[in-house]
Amino acid sequence: MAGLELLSDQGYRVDGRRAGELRKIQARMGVFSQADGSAYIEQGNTKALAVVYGPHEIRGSRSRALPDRALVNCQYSSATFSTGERKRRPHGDRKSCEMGLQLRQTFEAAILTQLHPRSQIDIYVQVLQADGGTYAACVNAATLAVLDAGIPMRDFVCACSAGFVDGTALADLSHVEEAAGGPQLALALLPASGQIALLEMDARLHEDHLERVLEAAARAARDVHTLLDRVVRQHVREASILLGD
Amino acid sequence: MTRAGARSARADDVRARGSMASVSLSEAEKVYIVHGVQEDLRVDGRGCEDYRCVEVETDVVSNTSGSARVQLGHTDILVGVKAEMGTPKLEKPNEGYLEFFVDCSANATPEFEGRGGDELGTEIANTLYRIFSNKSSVDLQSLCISPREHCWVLYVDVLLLECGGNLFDAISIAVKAALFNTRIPRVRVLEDEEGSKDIELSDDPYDCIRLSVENVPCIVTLCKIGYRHVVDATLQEEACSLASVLVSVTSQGVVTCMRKVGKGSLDPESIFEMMETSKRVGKVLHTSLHSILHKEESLGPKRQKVGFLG
Repeated sequence: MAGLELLSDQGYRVDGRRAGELRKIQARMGVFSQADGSAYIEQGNTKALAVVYGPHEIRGSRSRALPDRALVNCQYSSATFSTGERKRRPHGDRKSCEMGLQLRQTFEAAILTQLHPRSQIDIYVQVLQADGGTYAACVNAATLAVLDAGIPMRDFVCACSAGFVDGTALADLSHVEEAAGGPQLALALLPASGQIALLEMDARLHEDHLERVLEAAARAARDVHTLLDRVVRQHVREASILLGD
Repeated sequence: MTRAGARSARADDVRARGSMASVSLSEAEKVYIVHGVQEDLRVDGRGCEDYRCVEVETDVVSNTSGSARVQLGHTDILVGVKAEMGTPKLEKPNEGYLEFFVDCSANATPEFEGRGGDELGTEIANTLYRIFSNKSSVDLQSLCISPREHCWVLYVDVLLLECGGNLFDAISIAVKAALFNTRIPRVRVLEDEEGSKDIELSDDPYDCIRLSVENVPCIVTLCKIGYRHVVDATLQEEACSLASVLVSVTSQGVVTCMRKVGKGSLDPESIFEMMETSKRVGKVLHTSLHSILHKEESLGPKRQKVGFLG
């Protein structure tokens, strides 16, 4: 995409943000009443829904049951109208399977699975509109949904993407910035302890720059944590008002 | 009459309609529902011909040509329409066409994970193809750009997010609302001296053509419970019904398509009765949908979009 300046001389990105600035995040818990837990998040133009069922008995073969902890099962699906060009299959293709595995890895690190042996927790994430940072939006939505379902977790899982352009680390990439082909880092963090649940990077990046990009992503993830914390507290406050406490 | 009603309720399977989300009901609950319906009183206080509260919102997803979200009780449907350029079909060179795809997402129930929702999705998509195969439903000739070469193809993608009974009605309402919201960019075909055609898109992003949805039908599902039939059945009521009739009705009360689904059998008088009810109910449904869609559009681009955050 020659000719498109990702970072202007004054330090503004394509959509007018600063290098370390996140897009506007709005979230809501308890979107669906029939599921055990559900949440919706909007990060800029990226919209993701997450639904959690569980913990419940293992569906399918009983032999998959783990004797000491719960099985976490994730499915990532993106609607056919979510991307600019229409997708043919919402799920089942290679990228969706890979995302599902990554989500599973992320949440097995955070959920206290040893409290529910021989059971299964299903996390289904649906992307309604994809404008960059889909993995991060999915993880954030899934965290809220797991909390809405009342499943105990070690900590919030907050995710953010980061990139590197012209010697500056950018946080929370949009689709335009991702398509430009620079290095992209996806980070899922447990904010209280600073532990990293998932770290993934594409494209070439010099190791001297890695720390800066990682730092930008971690800072952005902590900002996301502040927002998600506020959303959860607001939701609990509303729920307790409805219960009449 | 009470004992006969109870016997037919016991003969039912617990699952509601095949691969849909199943709900387990005890015998006592089934008898309660069946008896209530005979008296024109349903569990939530509605009459036999009343719909639940329907919430419709259009333009929910921004990178589509048109979209709509419909909530009918616990049923949640999101429809996105994408307009793409394609070649007309050989047997209809002057028309564009519609393609339907239904995705039963695992959000609705864990049984739809992986390929579990494909069967239901294909059934719904085939029903949509059938009701739109009628020539008068959508003006397909307005979708033609140049005969035999270019036309607009509207990909209507239905996403089933939550299943609370009465899927077909909700999906048809959502499809109609999404088609109403669809804005197709205006294009011009320029022909130069050598005869090669060039398609030019208008510069103004708001210069678009809209589809007329006056004749787009809506599906009314009637479930036979005991000796009466109900409109807009919940999951529990669907589990008690032996058979249902899907009728696709236009706003003038014209029936374009009819299908009987379910394991039980119906006698011809009940089918005629159900068709009369569907025409009556369908007309009311269309008028309220039209008024809501026009009211929403009159709010203009400054309308506050709620989506899933409200």
